[in-house]
Amino acid sequence: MKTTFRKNNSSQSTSGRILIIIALFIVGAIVFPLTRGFLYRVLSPVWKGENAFSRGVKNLSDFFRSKEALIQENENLKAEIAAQDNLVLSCRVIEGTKDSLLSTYGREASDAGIAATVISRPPKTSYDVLVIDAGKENNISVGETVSVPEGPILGKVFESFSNTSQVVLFTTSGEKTDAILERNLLPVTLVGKGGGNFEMILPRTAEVEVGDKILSSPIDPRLMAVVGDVEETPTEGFKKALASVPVNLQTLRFVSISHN
Amino acid sequence: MNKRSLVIMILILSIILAPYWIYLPLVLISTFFFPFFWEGIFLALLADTLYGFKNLPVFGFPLALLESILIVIFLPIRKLFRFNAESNL
Repeated sequence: MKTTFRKNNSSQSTSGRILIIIALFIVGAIVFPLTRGFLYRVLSPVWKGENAFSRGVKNLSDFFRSKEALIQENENLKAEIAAQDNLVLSCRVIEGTKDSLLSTYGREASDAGIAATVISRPPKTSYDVLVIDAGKENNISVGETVSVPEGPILGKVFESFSNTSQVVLFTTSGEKTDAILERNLLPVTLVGKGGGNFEMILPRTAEVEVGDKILSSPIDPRLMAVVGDVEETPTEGFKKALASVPVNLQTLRFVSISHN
Repeated sequence: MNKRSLVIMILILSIILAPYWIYLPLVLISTFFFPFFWEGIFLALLADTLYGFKNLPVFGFPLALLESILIVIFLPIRKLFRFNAESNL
């Protein structure tokens, strides 16, 4: 009787495969970051086409809505626009006063900034990162503040390529940002939790309510977030407030980049 | 074109076009069902490159590290399943 014993190579092949995985990870981690600008340039028209297609599909769904529903929505929107027009006029007066005060103290008034289209946004990414279609050729540089046009600030330019830029939002998980709670002008630290949300820890005696606004800085305050919930435990010496950006990141189309 | 290449092309398209809650589970399922799915590392690197940034953990590639760990974990686990023998033919 001949007994053939096969060599057990499974442990060797597993070790070999682990080494291959480690090598692939290291090589990829070195090579892939170098291709980011190229990938953005190549995928930019694809993402723009996808955004246009999504909007087209959404508009198509309106085709099936009843005439009465559309008329009612039109009336509601007209009334809302009229109310917002009055509010904008009031804000313009205040903004003019603010700019003259800033110039009196030697500070430049804020400029309109550069407008850019958002070509990639959550939930395509699980991180709070935007890709915009403006880059070095549009004088966009790293560190510049990104905001919604005439609206809250969202984040800063993290990386700038020739025609695109990557914007990391303040709500990115783990990102810490100093801000001011409008009520009592209390300095706070916002900790990003992802998904357009912040968390802040406040002393138990601090006054904060749902709906309170959180501003960016005391000199030229811009809206950053709105408090959505306050969690307080009687046995603890602090309370936790949850806030969120007052903008739907998943439908964000345009942003404004301000030169600092 | 075999099944594996087709799935990889679909995954690349889903990473480019679909939300993360679509392509991440697809990559996870593919890692489990295909033997030694090393291409998953490059797919995860692609997702991290497109949608991540340098200051993320693990040099900006947390998904790629997670995928690498999953491939290693699934190596012995797959042997317990019948489809493993069929897919190795």
